[in-house]
Amino acid sequence: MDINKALLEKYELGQCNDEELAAVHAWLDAEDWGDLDMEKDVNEAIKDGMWADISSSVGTAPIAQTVLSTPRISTIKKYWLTVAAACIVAIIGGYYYSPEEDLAVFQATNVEPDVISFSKDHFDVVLSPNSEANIDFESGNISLTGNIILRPKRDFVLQDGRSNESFNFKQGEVYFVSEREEQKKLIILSKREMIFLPPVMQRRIKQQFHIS
Amino acid sequence: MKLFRPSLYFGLLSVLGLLFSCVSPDSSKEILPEYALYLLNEDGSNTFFLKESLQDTGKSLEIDVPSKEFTREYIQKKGIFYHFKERNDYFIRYQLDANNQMVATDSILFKDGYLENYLWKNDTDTLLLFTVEKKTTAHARMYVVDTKNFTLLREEPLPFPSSIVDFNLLSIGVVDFVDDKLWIAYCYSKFLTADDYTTSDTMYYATLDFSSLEVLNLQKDTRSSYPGGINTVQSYSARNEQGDFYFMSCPGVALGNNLTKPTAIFRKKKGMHEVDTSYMLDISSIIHNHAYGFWYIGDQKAIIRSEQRNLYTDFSNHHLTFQFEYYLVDLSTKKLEKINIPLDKGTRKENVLVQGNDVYFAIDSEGNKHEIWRYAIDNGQVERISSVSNSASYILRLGFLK
Repeated sequence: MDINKALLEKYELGQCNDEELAAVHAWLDAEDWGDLDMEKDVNEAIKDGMWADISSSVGTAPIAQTVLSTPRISTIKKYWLTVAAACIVAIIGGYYYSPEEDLAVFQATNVEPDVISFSKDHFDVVLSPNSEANIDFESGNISLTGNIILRPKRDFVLQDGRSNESFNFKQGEVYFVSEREEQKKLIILSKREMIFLPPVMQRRIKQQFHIS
Repeated sequence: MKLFRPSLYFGLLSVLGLLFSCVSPDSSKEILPEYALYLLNEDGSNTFFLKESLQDTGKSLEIDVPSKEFTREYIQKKGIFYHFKERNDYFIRYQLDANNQMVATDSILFKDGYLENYLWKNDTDTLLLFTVEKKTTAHARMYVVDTKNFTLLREEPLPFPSSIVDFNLLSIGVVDFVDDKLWIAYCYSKFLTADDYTTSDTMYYATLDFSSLEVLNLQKDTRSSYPGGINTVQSYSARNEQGDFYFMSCPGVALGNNLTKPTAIFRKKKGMHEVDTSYMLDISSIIHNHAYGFWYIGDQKAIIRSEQRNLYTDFSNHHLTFQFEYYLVDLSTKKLEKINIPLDKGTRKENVLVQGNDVYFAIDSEGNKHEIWRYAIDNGQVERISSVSNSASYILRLGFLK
């Protein structure tokens, strides 16, 4: 159903029938406001889904797209993309996988020109180009180069290896974690706190992670 | 029989409870809010806090933002809120319904862009909006919206270069409209490394014919860098009673990041299309810090909000640190006077409100305090007048609702 001025006025006046009401509510709550073409490629999809659900963006790497001939959003394909992403990481070689280590250590490098996403037991993570992340639950340390976006699936505490400062990561929150050479510690901001970054930086991050 | 009495009593209680619970949603109708505060809460949510009075007296009501993508970057006039939804480029109008809930009532689809600045043309219902293209952050565009009928009147690119030398990120920092001419202050930034950027040493002031958008005059000013900023987030300019226009540059770490330049206030005199090169109020040379945010309070006086560079380390704590001070600035004598209120936190806020002879500040101070402070313009007296919300982390905005 098209959302137009007449319909919104009806809505305002409380004259909508159930179907119209549902359409307006859907429009108001929509992530995509009806103008998103779900048949677009995965990059489009991650762009719109990033904040809402990082896990749905798994497999956004350009390599992953070449693995799949028609990358589209569907549960089955998402699963394949995950496998593809894992393979890519294995190829890159920075990442090692075994059932026990999966819980304890995460290590990945993104040498690609686009972001790469991973969905793990305890978190989802997206690495920006030229980034490297090392999350070690055994030692409780996090270290990285570049920028990552991290979405914990449970609460955990990690320590910034360089500054020795601990940080509480909360389940369901989305974090931007950045390392800069000139600074002696990680910059860890929740999604909401990113409004405090300079606009030039905010836009760079949005572009990097295809957020808007 | 005795056994039944308590149950009867509890039964009555629950009926009463039900009655009251049915009544309570209607209480939102009984409040006639005068002020709207925009909060960032501890749980990460944003809410509006509507208040009848900024004192502790009077009713208040906390309402949800109309969508989860609604941000602090809104425009508010006469109880109507306008917000540009960056994700899908819809410019949306929101209004409070009879229950004081905010609902979207109309929208206009813009082209892709980040909203940089807005201006009510000659204080009419015509709203001028200025964006830069998302992909390059280099091409500027103007939208003209008739807010009465909520229709798009015009939409055109602005004739500014997409880069100057290798500075390729355009910011539209200040806009003004006089005698059917548009005046725009802009600047260019660039990334030095993957994560570090700076802004060039030149502020550009263009005067454009409003109909043709032809550039009639271009003035370059190297006395500072990064004029103004995104004015849906914070105010950076104002016109005084005589018609002179003042604006502040923000080269500090939170905006322009050209730290060799001072934060300063500049003037464009009434009837002039060029900035007065004989006038500069160098804030940084007086307080040895950078500032962001400029609010004119009348009679050649303004308020500015300044950081303290010895208190923060970098962007990990710039917003968290209780460092922000407020100064009363005399634009004529160029004297600054610190206002004696607690140190505030939060990088960039629209939290200064002038009403009559009083200036109200929404301050997030140490000890999880979120309070309204009042500065009396006549005698300089400062008083804490109310406490806002315990669940807030930041009061990002304080404004009139009417």
